[in-house]
Amino acid sequence: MDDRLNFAPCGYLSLDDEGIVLTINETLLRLLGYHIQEVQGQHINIILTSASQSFYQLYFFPMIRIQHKVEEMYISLKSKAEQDIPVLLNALRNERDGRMFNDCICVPMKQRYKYEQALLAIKKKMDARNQLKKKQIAELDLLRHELESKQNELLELNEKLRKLSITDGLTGLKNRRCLEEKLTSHLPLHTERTQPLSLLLIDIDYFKEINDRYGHMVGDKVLQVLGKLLKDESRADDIAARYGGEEFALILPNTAKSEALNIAERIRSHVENAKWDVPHITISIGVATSLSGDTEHALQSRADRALYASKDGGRNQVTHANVLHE
Amino acid sequence: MDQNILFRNNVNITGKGTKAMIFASGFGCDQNMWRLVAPFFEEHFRVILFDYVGSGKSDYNAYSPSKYKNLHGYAQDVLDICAALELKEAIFVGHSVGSMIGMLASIQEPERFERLIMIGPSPCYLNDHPDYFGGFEKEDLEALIDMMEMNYIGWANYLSQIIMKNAERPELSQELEDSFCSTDPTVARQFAIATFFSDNREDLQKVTVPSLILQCSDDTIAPVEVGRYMHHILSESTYYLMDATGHCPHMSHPKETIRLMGDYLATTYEEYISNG
Repeated sequence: MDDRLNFAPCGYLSLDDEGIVLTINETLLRLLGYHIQEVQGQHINIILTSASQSFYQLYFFPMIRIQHKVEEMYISLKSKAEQDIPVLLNALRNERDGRMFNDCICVPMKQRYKYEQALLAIKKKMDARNQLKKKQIAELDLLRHELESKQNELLELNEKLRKLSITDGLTGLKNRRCLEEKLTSHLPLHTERTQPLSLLLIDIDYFKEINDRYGHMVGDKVLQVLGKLLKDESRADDIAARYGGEEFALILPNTAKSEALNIAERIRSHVENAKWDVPHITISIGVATSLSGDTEHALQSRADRALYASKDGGRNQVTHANVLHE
Repeated sequence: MDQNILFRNNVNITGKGTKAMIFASGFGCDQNMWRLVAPFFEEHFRVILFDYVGSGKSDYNAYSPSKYKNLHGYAQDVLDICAALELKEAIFVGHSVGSMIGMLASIQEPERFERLIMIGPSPCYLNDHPDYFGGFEKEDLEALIDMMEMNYIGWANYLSQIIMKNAERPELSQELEDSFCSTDPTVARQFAIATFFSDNREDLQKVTVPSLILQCSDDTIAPVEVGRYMHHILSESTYYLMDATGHCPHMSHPKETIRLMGDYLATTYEEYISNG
């Protein structure tokens, strides 16, 4: 070998297609710590690290065969003392005297290798951090979804509870608490605008006897049917409620005495003429209509007195509080 | 015919025959790897070459990290191509991981394949002491993948994407287009992991298509023990230990490769190659 190549400031070796080292220069031998006899005629694997042996098969060989050149390939050589020596390698496939040679030169890249390792390490750290971030975002998303669905469940539950709290379980009408709230909110609005509001208190006649004679199941059924009848008779803004026991109430907004009496009479008559599971169901009704400066308590007690007047008058009748003597 | 698939996988069809021969390259390489072997079969067969999504001149936009996280995504590419070309009873020729990809495809849709020719296959690269010798310890494979990372010529491209925060994949430069190896670092790294950390030993028993195993002497990637193991487990397999050394006999020893493939096919496809 020409001395200039033999001692050139770069490693040089030539391989055949089997990977056998045909020639190698002194510079590279010194870098590896080998004598020429130990390397020449051997497979290149003896100067490659384990990873480089695979890399050689996977990349170097296909590239040099297909592209006839390899440029800027990083590969790690293994010295006789088993030290890794990172090198940068270029190769050309040349024909000489009818034979193919894969000529390679390589230069050690110790400093550059460290620098690139540091870059790669940073990249890996960043990748790991990004992965973690992605994972955390996914977890947060999941939590947010869970929270939202729990919130929705809670809202639904609250709505259910609210309905339960203002509803009479047996009849499905509003309960007494709700009725009183509605009166409290409606009455001042009506008296302010000098619009009349009427209240009907409705009681089933001789209900105790029905319970005693036919049992509570039948009694409950009567209550349910009456509840439905009241609901059917109600106009859009009317509020039907179960007042307690066999007593019902109907708030009639924007309704004056005469109209309230008509409605009450219609209900009374429907009940009397309806087909019941038990004979002779009738109701007594007390009606009161709001006055200026009225309170819900005063209105209720006037309706209550009217109801007792209906009872006293022989039941199955409607009485308006205005006809009562104070 | 689904032109999208043919574009996606850069499918190229040549040959005068009717019997289909589909060639699948190994890890990180493209159809150019077959140029010393495939032309020989054009006389009697319909030769089909393709690139995996993420390699060669495939459509990089079709790459999805979740689909290609293991070899099944690549097997699906093969099945997609078979469906697009309406292939039945084809001869599948795979190099290295390409043969495993074809094998997985054949388990899913056996009627597509009549023969599998596997060059340097390995169902598992990792040693599983003491029962299985794959040739690699975990550290070896990690060092190999690190070395690949240090060598991506697509690095500059990759870094500029990060720095520019450019979501759009810029057009590949001419330099990258000329290269036949995987050029996208993320794609190549994932393919390397899918390849070298796969364990398809369980799948070997599910293979029903007859196969030819071409095992190289002195192969650091797929050692002789691996080829013998495959032959032992694969039903209806034929095994040849080649004179060829290394891992790419179809490039280093094309004549021997062609001869062994031709002999194997001659026993089954006399009518196709009676004059060849």
